[in-house]
Amino acid sequence: MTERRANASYVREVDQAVVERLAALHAPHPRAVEMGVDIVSDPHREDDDGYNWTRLRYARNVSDVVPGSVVIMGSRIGTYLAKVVAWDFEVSDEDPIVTLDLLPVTPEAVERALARSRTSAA
Amino acid sequence: MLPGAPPDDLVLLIRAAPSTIEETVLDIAETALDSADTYAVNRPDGTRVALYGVSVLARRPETDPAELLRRLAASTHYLEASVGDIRSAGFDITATGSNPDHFEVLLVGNQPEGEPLLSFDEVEESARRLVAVARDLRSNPSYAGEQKESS
Repeated sequence: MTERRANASYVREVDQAVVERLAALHAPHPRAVEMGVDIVSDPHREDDDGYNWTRLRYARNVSDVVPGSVVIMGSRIGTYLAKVVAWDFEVSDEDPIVTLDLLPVTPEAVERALARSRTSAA
Repeated sequence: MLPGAPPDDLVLLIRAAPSTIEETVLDIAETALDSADTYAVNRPDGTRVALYGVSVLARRPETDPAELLRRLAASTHYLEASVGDIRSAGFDITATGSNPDHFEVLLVGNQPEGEPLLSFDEVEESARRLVAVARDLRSNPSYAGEQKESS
């Protein structure tokens, strides 16, 4: 396991100018829009560090999937909660690999917890 | 055989799946095409081929499927097949990453890196052969329910 994988808080930030450049080029991915998720990704995938990965073109909105964001990722096999760890430009300057840390909780469980919290606060 | 390939009798390989065979074939074909558009893999003869890979998890004899599938609780079903059966059907299997129980099944193992991607229909045909190896979809014992349908 690499050092970055051992650190659960690891995030490789991206310059805001890069985010804006890629956002200007981006069209929301139809499947992400149809599924109501932030980005489409196969939850089985693992890179050399054990992170999940997809490509930025599969995002609904670029600004929602910048490193550090918590996102809903989805595919034909359901929706999952993940944290965006990095954008990797090794294969493309316009369509980086988006590295994700799949979180071991379901979006629905988080929704229920937040709903309880709101009820308690009311 | 590719480097890091598991022995025929060591493991079963499993992958979470949607609720129908047709959706499962499409899911596998889509992920393999996307993988080939991103990564390549070295063959023993020194050549590099596009990684038309489908990620799978090894299930060791002592491991309960429910334990492996807990992180994939949004999926209603899963596929399971032995390494030997997958290899007999003509698919290479390669280890990937730091997880010793994570492998890629190569739907297509001879497409040189840098060549135009294969058509979806070509990859879908291979996906259908791979799904046929597993025969049946099995119910995911860790399915959490309450998922929206995706198509």
